[in-house]
Amino acid sequence: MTAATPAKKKSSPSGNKKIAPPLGIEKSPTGITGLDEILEGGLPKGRPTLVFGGAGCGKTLLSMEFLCRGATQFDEPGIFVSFEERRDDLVANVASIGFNVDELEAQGKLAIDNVRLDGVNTTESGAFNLEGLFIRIATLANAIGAKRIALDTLEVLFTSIQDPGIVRTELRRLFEWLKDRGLTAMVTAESSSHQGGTRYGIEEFVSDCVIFLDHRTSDERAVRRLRVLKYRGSLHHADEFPFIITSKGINILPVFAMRLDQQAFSEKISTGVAHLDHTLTGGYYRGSSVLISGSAGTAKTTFAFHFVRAACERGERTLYISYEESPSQIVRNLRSVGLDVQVWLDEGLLRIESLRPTLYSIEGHLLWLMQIVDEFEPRNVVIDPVTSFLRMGSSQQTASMLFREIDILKSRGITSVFTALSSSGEDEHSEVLISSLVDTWLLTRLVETNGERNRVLFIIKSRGMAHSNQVAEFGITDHGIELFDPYIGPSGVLTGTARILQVEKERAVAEERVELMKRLQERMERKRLDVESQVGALWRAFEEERAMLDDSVLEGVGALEEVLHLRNLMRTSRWSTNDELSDDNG
Amino acid sequence: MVKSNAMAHAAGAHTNGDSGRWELDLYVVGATVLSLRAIANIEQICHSNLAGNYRIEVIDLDVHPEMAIENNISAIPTLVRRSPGPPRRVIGDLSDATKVLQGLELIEA
Repeated sequence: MTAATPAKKKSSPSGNKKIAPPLGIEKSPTGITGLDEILEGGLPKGRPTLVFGGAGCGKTLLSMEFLCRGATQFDEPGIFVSFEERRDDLVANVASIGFNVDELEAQGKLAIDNVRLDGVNTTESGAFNLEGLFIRIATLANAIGAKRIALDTLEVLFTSIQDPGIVRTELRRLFEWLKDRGLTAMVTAESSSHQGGTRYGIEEFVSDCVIFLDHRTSDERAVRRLRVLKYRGSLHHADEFPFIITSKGINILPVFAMRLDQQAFSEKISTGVAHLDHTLTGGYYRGSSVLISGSAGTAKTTFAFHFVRAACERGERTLYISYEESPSQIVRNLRSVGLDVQVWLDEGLLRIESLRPTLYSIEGHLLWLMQIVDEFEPRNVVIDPVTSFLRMGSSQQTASMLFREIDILKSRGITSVFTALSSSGEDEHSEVLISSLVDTWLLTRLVETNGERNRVLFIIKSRGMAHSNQVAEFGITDHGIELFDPYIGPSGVLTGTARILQVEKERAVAEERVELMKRLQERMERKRLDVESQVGALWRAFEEERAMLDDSVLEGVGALEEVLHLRNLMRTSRWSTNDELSDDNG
Repeated sequence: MVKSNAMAHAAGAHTNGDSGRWELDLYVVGATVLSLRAIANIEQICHSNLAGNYRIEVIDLDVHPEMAIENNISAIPTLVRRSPGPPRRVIGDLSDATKVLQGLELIEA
């Protein structure tokens, strides 16, 4: 190999190795849910990968699934070399994850070889090698044109062969040989009781890719986890990932699937409450996540079921997970508020799953949910309430799980509704953590005033849509939830009787005012009439006065004219007699 | 080649009746030093301990690779005692005669 690439080696001194990993390392996808994402594409092609863990950690199944998927999905036939399990056990084991080994073998896509190293009936005498094993693998590889191989568990060699020197030499030879043949290999091994390695140091031989499987039990709950310890020349995710074994194989849930690149839907779907749809300008967005939080007895479940009803009426499959009530309890309680969900259950549109939160670990729940989602393929999922998880883990853990849950549901275009019980200060913290993950947050609250408790609804946030920030009061009637217009007056938000009283009071005040205005108007009218009549009287008096004045003026004018006339007459007569004139001057 | 050679040895080795005869298979891969040493060693041991009442079949997996799977052979060389039963195995070049005799239950372990 060194000889084949002398130039390459020259150009990349050892110091640069870490900085510049070989680009485009060829990978072999496993097809196992989540694993290829963690491995950034798959296992190193044509090279061995070590999978190790304690007893019952799932390494045999993982390697078997690797081969079955290789054969069925990637047209890469594989050989399973079993050092422990018998063929029949393997076939049954793999059938549990949905693969038919007999069929795959008949199609020439899979070959199983059970290598039995019978230590008790075998004696060692002198030098030997494992050439027989090589021949077996080569024979099968040639027969089916194998591209993949699983060796489970190779380290049995260490217990059945006395001379560990021989085993080491042969293992080294075997891995070189597998690489020469270009077989993508998965080698399993037991982990040592001490942390961090295999019992017989198999990792010494397999250094390209190392995967660790863990099956821990904490607080009586078993959790399976997977971690990629090493991947030479490739990016990979080093976190621990929980996984489950389902009827469809191993299911690993990578957290980083949170790439925030999910398709955003513009379609709005009904919340199931007409008034709320209106407030949210049409409802929730399809594929979004909704949180309905509130204290006990604030009708969170009822709210959620309104959504369910609307979904079922649209003919969409909906999954309801309850951590508090049994399905029959739910059905009965909902009937009392006029919601008949039995119909949807019968039609298979609705599936209610009830279980104790403590049944699984936090991750276990997530995986369990995903399994149901895979089976049922709902368009909507309701989880009631998510705060149940706080009893099992920290709020940080709960938020982390929801983070994944929301992400996975979103990536499938599933609309999710979560309810959360808020009461104490601790819960509120979690509420905040959760709320940052959801698109729409509705808060229901009981408001205590004047000796009664009334329910109010706040829309705390709703991403990507116009929404009213107002508080709305709601009631639970025998035909479900009913929202009332909010009353916000000078003395704050009023609810219940206070709201009704206030509305009444306002009406009374308004009526009073109208009455007053009416009275004022009448008074003004009367005043106007009064003024008018007074004006009329004055006018008439004035008219009379003027008439009188006119008369006197005319009289005066007449008298004057007479005087002038008399004077003229007198002047004419004087000019006729001088006596008269001189008398006049004297 | 090796097989036919071994068969020749086997052919001239039966003197007693079939009932108590030792049937031994020796699996090898090619005419390697290891193979030849194992063949020589088992013949020497049988000659000394079984007084001609034995038959050794040498099987070269290079020639019959399918027999490795059929008979579950991993270590090379492997000597299989087919008769008397139950089957017993001795792996290695059979250079430690005591171990071989123990493995074939000709002497107590």
